[in-house]
Amino acid sequence: MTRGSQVAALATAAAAAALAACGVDLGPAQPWQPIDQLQLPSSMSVEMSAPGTFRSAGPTMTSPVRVVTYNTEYGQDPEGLARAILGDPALVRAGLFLFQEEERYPTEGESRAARLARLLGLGYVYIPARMKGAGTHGLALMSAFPIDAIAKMDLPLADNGVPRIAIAADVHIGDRTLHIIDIHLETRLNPRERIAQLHPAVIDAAGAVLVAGDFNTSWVTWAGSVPVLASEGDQAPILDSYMTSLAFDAPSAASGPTEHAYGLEFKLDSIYTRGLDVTFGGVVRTGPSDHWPMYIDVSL
Amino acid sequence: MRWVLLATWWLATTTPASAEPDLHAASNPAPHAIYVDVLGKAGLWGLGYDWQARRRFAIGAAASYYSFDGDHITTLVPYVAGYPIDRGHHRGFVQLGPTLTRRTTPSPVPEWSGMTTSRVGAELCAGYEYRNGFLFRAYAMASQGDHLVPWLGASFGWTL
Repeated sequence: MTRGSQVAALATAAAAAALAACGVDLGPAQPWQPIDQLQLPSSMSVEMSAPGTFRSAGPTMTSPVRVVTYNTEYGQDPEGLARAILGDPALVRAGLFLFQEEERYPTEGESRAARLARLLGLGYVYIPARMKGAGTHGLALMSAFPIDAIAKMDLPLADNGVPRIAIAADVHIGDRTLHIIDIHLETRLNPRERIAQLHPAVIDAAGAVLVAGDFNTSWVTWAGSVPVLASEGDQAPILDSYMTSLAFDAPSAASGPTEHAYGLEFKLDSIYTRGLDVTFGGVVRTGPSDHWPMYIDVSL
Repeated sequence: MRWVLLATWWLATTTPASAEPDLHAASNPAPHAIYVDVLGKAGLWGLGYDWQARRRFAIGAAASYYSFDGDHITTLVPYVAGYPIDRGHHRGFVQLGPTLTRRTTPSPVPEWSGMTTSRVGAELCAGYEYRNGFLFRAYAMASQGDHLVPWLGASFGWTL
């Protein structure tokens, strides 16, 4: 091979490398479904505490209301999670928790969400997103205040992903109502797919609303299921930009990392609000999960 | 960024010119290298060139453009290189330089116009080089952008 043909081969390889898959490849969006109208197999049933249990064992703040979002890493250590929450002066005052990655297994008796809610003295609702082995995996809300109008949305399914959901609810705090959306997006998505998966859950949201959860906005670029790149920058500012275009504020934009794994730190979790008077609290970097809880104060 | 500039200046100015014969006068008559990076300095891939100004010192740059899941990413990485270990065709190298990255994310939805970001970071690479007409490098690196991130790369090319 001559030197010229070698250079031509290099150029061809470079051009091939520049051509990568384009487009957003997700399943269709689904509508919000009230939980009393869900048609789920018994193994995927919704779990909810009695209305009278919506109270708190801790000194709950009501004005402002402290709201926490927390990915509990499969809820595998309810006692450790409860210790982390009740032992932290910022978290113990919270009245509303949006949890991700709660699970329930038949061999464990009650669900992990139920155990955590009992330890926190809160009412709860657990909504599974998918089967996981003999159990289920999903989202949970825990609240010192009554909750109703609970609905679930199946988010657009990614080709290389698993079923993901968002849940919405109205939280009644005195004579005020706070509309919330708890969400957990797919891990292995790049920014455009991530926005496309988020879009149906927030595009028709009520005027005043709090959206929080695990948006999985890492600085990794994904080639299918393989992380291939690190230096292009966070996905979080891109999602912040998208939510800002919908008139949301991004009070947690400068929160810093919310998850730690393999000696690295990522900002995966966020809180977005619209039409609410809020003060961002912070990230409490403690607890048994690979994520750290993030909190915000909402004045109603 | 200041530490990158200072380190670059130090690397460039502390190479003892009088003690290190010019490469043209040394046994290796091929001070130019052109290569393709697999992963590495410029992200997913890169096309690079460097010039060995002295036996233990080189300057160069790698660049890339690619479209990935609809995102358009352009990266330019100029660098200086030092060779603290030199065993003929086998050498150990260190490269240091800034990273300039421009990322455009077109919108997948009608309510958002998309986003373009430009950022400046820094990269430090260290690894092995085989250089004898054919060029091969394998290296580990640390990329400091929004975060400090470990990364790997390999280069394949030719020296001229």
